[in-house]
Amino acid sequence: MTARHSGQGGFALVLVLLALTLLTAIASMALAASVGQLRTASMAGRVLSERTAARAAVDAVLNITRGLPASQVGDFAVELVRRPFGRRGWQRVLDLRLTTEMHAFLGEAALDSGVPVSHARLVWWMDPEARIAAYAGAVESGTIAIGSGASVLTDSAMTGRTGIPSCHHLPRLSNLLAGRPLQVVSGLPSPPEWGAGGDGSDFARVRLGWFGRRLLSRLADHSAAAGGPLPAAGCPGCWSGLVYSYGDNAVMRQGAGVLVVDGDLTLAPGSSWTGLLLVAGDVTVRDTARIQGLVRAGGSVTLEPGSVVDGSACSAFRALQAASSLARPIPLPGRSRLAPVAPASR
Amino acid sequence: MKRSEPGSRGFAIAEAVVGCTLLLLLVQVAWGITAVQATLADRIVGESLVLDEARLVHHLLVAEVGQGLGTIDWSVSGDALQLRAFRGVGLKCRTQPNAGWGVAVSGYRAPDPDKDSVLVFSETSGWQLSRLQRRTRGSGLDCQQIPGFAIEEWTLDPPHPDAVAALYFERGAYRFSAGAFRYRVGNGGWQPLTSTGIASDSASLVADGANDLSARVVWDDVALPSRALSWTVRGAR
Repeated sequence: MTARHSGQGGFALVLVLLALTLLTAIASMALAASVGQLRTASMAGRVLSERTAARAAVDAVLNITRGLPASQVGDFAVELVRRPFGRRGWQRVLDLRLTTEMHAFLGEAALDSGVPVSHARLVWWMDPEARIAAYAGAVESGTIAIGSGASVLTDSAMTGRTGIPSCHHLPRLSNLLAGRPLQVVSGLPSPPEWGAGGDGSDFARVRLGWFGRRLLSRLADHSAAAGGPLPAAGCPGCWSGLVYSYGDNAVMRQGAGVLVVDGDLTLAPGSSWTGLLLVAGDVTVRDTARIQGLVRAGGSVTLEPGSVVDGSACSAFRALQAASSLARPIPLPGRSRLAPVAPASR
Repeated sequence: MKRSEPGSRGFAIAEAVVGCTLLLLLVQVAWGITAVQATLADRIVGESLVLDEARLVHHLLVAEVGQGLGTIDWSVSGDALQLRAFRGVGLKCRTQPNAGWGVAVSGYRAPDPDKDSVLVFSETSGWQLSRLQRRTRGSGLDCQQIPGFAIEEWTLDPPHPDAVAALYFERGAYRFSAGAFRYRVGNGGWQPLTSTGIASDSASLVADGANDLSARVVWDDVALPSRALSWTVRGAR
């Protein structure tokens, strides 16, 4: 009896053991698949976090950086920001200055001590000296009519004026004007200086480098509706920053700054504007009115008898320098992503 | 002794019948449980494969489409996504060679003159297309030292001496066909990137507006919980 019982018990035990082995194998397979999934998902999540952090760092720098760049063309990359990310990770943005106004912003982010993921964008950062150096004439327009007794002066483009210090210390501008003196009048330059080209309708009427109409109106220190009052300068060398007019307008008093007019502009008799004028349409300078700086107009420029354009590159430069809202990096409109960049091994 | 022999024989038969019945029951229950477990494990494994492949398809589409501008860099033609598959970038070096263009290069792979074209940005001309004719190591060039970038000299046709930055790419296409997600370079053959469990008749790549792409992947196995997955990918902005 005892032998028979033990024999049956052993057989059942073998079956149970077999079943258990099978179940264990199946469970291990499922567990391995789940662990594999977890690992892959965790890796994918980590890379996604790092990529997002690298991109966010670049976007944040573009949003918060103000002023002129500290980097030099061809010099070491300048670290614009570095901050912790996650528990032990970090993110940073490097500024590589490729030309005077073109930069590559390289965002990097890493969780823990892993290989950082990179994200790069092509960025335009205005340089006032380079902007003014692009001018060939004191007046740049489609056509120009200079009345008898009206004058356009260009012989002291770099010299200071009342309240405006001289610009002779600016090497690029000085060298350029020494080799290619400022002309009285010149035709309109090609994109990206002026006109849309293939850059989009935002640049069709007015532009300042890669600042289009929309951005110029958004960044303006003073905005005026068509015919609305333009800010007056309180003193010589007092700048109004960036002034944007949404339509035809007129300067009635003394003003100073960067004046952008999306329409026609008239300078009333006795009025004056010091700085930079960017006008989508026509410019009419009435008798005894005066412009001290540089003018660019998409239409015609008419200088009535007795009016004066004092071609001062220095005044235009100072006006641009004082327009602090323009001293910021912006992603190149259209295609600005430089991708893919390989993870930066270190 | 005589009495006990038949009794004990009968008990043994009954015992054997009960034992066999119990054993059968045990085998049946164990078999059932094992079968259920096997099916479950099969599903888990199948699902994990599906998720792996979905992740791969998603990653590829996000990376490829996200780097390009809709209608300019990628478009859907028939059932295939035709695109410029960007593989890396080049940034202008401070010093330039007498001939060619000195660049700091980084990307998924090194540029290949046999199959790559280059989108070149210059301040005066904007983005222009060029053919990459030749690339050599840029010894003696003064480039900003950036981790992960190599210095090279490129010969472009047409040349762009004032170029600032460049993106190199190969012409490629993605589509679902013959049960798999496939890629081809130029006019080459369609290479499978996944196993052949995709219901390619139901899977699709469709342009959604000017800069979005809708992807839908359906697997043949109807028992899979994640049999059909769909998502939208955005082009670069």
